[in-house]
Amino acid sequence: MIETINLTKRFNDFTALNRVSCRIPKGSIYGMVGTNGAGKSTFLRAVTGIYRPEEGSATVDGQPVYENPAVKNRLLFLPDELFFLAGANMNRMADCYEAFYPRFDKERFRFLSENFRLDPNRPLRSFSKGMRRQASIILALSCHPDYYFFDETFDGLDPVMRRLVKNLILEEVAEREATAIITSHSLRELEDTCDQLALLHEGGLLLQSDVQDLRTSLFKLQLAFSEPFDRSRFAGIDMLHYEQIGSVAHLIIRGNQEETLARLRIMNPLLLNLVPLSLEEVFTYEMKQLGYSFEDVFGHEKEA
Amino acid sequence: MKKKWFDLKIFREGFRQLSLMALAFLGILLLTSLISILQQPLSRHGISITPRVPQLMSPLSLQPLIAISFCLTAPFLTLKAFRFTTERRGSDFYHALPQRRECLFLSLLGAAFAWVMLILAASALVSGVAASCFPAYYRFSWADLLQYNLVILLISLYVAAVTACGTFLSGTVFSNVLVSLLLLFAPRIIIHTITGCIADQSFMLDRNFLPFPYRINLFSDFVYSFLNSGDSRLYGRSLFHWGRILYTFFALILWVGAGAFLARKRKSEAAEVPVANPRVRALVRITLAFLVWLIPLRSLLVHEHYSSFDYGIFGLFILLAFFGYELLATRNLKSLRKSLPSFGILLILCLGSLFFCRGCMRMAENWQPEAADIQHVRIMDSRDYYYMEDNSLFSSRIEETRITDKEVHRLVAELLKKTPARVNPGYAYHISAIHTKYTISKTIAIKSGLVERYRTILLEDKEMEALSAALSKDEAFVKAYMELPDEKDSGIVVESIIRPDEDNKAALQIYRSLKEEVKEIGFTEWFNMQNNPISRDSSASIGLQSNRQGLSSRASFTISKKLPRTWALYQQLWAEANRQNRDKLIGWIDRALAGEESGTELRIQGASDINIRAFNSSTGEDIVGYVTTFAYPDGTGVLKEGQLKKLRDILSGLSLPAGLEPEYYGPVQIDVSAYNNEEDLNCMFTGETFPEGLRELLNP
Repeated sequence: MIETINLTKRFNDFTALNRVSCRIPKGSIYGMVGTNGAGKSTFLRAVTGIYRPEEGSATVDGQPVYENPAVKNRLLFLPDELFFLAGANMNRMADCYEAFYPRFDKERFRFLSENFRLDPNRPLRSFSKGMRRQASIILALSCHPDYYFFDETFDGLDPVMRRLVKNLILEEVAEREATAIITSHSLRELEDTCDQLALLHEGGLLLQSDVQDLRTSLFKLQLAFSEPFDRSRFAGIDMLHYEQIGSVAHLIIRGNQEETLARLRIMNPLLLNLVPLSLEEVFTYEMKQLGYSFEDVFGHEKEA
Repeated sequence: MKKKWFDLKIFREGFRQLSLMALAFLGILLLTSLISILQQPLSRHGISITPRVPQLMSPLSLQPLIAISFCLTAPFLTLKAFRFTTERRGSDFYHALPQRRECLFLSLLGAAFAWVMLILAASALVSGVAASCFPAYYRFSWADLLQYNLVILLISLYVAAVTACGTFLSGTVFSNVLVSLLLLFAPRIIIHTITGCIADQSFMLDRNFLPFPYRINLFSDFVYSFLNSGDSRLYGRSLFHWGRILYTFFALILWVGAGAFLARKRKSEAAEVPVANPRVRALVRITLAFLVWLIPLRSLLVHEHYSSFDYGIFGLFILLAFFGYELLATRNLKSLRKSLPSFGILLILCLGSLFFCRGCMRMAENWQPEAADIQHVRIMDSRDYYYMEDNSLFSSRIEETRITDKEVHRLVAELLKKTPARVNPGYAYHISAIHTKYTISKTIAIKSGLVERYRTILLEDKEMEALSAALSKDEAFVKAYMELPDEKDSGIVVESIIRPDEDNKAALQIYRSLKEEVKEIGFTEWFNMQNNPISRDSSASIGLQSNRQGLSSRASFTISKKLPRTWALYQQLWAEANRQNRDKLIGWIDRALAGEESGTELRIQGASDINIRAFNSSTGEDIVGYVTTFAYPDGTGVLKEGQLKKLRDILSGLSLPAGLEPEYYGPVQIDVSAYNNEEDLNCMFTGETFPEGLRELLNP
């Protein structure tokens, strides 16, 4: 398990991570979303021991990470900006990884290279951006770490490759009980892959939750009554959002779905529809509760 | 878990990453060594240079570009090994590795070290083997070559370690280089300039006035020697100095330790930021500005006359170095305001250095030990006699001799007290400061207490005589003068202007005679003969080449009439050689005449050039200047058949002098030199009058 307590990282006067506390269970896929500059990469670098935090701690299975080779041996960080040796091809990089990571598996490297249809003898500088990304993923997956840290890893991959990489990560988690922490600025990118999701904004962790809990904790209802009504009619129900257009009201409710429906049925509504909520909508309402607007945090994604 | 300091796999990977650059450097070193060694043997087939005695090769001559090992190879390999400190992606990759940072640092630095070692080893081996293939041309010592390369290795590793520290103090390639250069040179430049400023204020002091060698660091000493004179003697002197070797070794260890510490402390986010740490930045800008300050400091202390405008310009440069660097490093105007407090520190340092130099000069000048406190003195001959430059073998022996004679100590102590009053005040280091009465100055190393100090004293002729008399009673000093090196020593080559026969017999015969006769004439005569240029009453001399521990030195002993037997032997052997040369020259012309075919033009077969100079032997005035008769392919400048016959007849009729000295010559002296593809020769003729036929021949 990865645990951070009040993890803080500053760059001169700028606080990139502000007292971030979280727990990432072993064998899970943990997604971290946030805009550019939210602190996602800084978080990964602080947790993998690249950055020395100014305050707080980051531990893996109870052991501090920074300057702890025994722990770092079980981690692999794949940054957003990829590192390759000058003039190297994939085979040369594999040799390099083999020298640095004791668990590096050459057989798996060869297998994955074939699967991705990449020529390991071709210079990496002749690869496209997406191919270089694939090469780095192959190298990372061949290291067999216990903890993967993927920083914006799906960027530059086409949908087919994205699916393939996601499947490989899922396979690692399922078969080896590996843990993967994946960051992205896109919520949609992560919602189908991650068990847990966290939202990072301006260096702070706004929320984190199990994806399943998130999906079931909020639900949307469409209601209509024959007589005139207003918001006061639903007093006692934990409502995150209320909107009424004519005689039809839309409610976003937190709580037990069955109990709430039973309670509303007693009111003899003309219309009572349960409308499915996307994860994005869940985030929107949860953030509104915390005083943030989704547009501020994911403005570009909403527009997209 | 036990801390790991070195990882073989990282070392191997680092070694592999550096291979391309390292092999390029190796190629350069090997190529230059081979060219330098093969040049002479190969050129003898094409260009006429007479084979002489084998050349004693210093390691520097065998590996002429060896300095690139620490000037380029070591720093560039280190910068490459730690390239990741200057780019974020590399920084992330390396700092994420499951290794402690010290381990990463030491393993990668080890890779750079290993390459430097390999390159030097390969270069030394190839150079040595190549030189061994030509024993007729070169003589060298494998032990010296090995020791020299070990010392160069030490310097190279030192530079690599300092450069590594530089990379961990900064975050861009440019700042890596700048900080490394500052770490390497700034302390040396400051020490060198400050000691110079102190020494230059007083006639009595030279830069060695400090109680420790100010050039104790081998690297800076080597660079200083190279920049100052390019004199290989200096390389040898410093490179085989155990104090310097030990100092540099410990400095290397300290720098490696400092590098490991910095690697641990450095924040990985410093990559791509010129100098992230504000304290290091302050140190860099203060150092840069202080280095500029050293220029006006010297002029302020030694009263060189700069105008107010000049000082204003220096002030501007200081401000530019200080604030300009800060602006370049941060690209933020606000940082200039923050840097103001450190400008105060700079001002304090500048003023402090001024008072420090003054104070040190006064203290050094006031150091006047009593004779009883002096343990030994050494006469630093090469500092005083320009003509000793060609006598470095002899002077270095003298300089190494510790004189313990009490009378010498008494005289030195007395002269030390008298000297300040003999220097005109206000003109401190200028030569005009010396009163004309005191024509002799001697630099003396004086050991009193734990350390040796160097002082220059001024003497009258009588005082010099007294000092010489006292010196003649010092056993060690007398021995250093009287015991000439053994000619059988493999590190010694005897050479003479007399054309060497196969075994260099003539030169050896003269040298042996000289050695014996020196013993007979005694110390005083021999001492004066070597120290007084006026006593060099002969143009005959015999030379020695020596090469020991990388120290190339020469000696040239004048064969004066005060050594009558050797002098006579020299004249006799010289006359014999001159006669042989004349016969050979005539033989060349005869061969040329016998091979005549064209009838109109004659190429001088076997003697492509003949140079003739005739002059008045007493006044030295030219009768006929240098005349060259070239054998151009188009025939111009070539002596016609008739002319050549005439030249032969004239030369055959000329008299040969019985010796080299002017007394053996008539009013006219004619020097003829000629060379062909095999050898060159020089022949001297003499006569009562200049043969008119020769004038007509040479100036038709």
